[in-house]
Amino acid sequence: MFQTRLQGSCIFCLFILFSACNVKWVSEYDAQIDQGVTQLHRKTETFLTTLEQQQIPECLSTEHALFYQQSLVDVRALKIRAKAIPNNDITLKQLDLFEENLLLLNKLHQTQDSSNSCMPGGMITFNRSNFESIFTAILKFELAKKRQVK
Amino acid sequence: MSLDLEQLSQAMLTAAKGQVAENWPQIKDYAEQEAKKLAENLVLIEKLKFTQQISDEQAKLMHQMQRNATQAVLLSVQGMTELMAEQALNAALDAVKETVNAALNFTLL
Repeated sequence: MFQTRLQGSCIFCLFILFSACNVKWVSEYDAQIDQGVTQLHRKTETFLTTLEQQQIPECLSTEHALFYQQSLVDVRALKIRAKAIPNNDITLKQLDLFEENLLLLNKLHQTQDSSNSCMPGGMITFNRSNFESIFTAILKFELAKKRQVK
Repeated sequence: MSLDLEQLSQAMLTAAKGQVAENWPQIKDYAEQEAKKLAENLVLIEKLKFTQQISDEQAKLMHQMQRNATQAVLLSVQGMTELMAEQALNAALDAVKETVNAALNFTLL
């Protein structure tokens, strides 16, 4: 009996605390971030598929400098947008992680250059799976924001 | 008309539970699928190193990339869980809106 009253009182207190407005802990869905991340995914997949088919010297990182440069510009633009939206820390952190992985991929690619060989198939498979996980994570969360109760 | 605390709290709990029951299985399935993929990638790094297809430095870089991908997935799970809690709370408030407004004789909610 006492526990039920205590439970009831706690719930009522929470109710008073959050009354008069809907709670919003997470930002709204943003179509531009959705589209931007989807486009980045396409670019990354195109890059990896191209690498798989190339030989020396086309497969060297220096031949793909434009991909790395443009992708960094794109993700930094998305980060500015994400920062401007309130309660959007999680998406911002995820974009930070993508940017970091892009820089690491570039480093990985450069280490392959020093042995004057193309990225082995296993490494490309790893990179594809790795980036798919990051893109899926960002998009899954972004799409989930659409289901918010208005 | 006075507010019945027990009735209100039950209505709120039922509404909140409904949201969790609807959303949690999807979050769980996603987390499980990604955990499997991430584990496969760790095994792949070790296999590539063991067969000398990658150097120590490259293995380190790939491990760091894998840590970042894992963190991105966990952030997604965290975010979706926060959304679920938010929806549960809002559903609970919606469930008692009419009762409360009628009892107080003005639109609080």
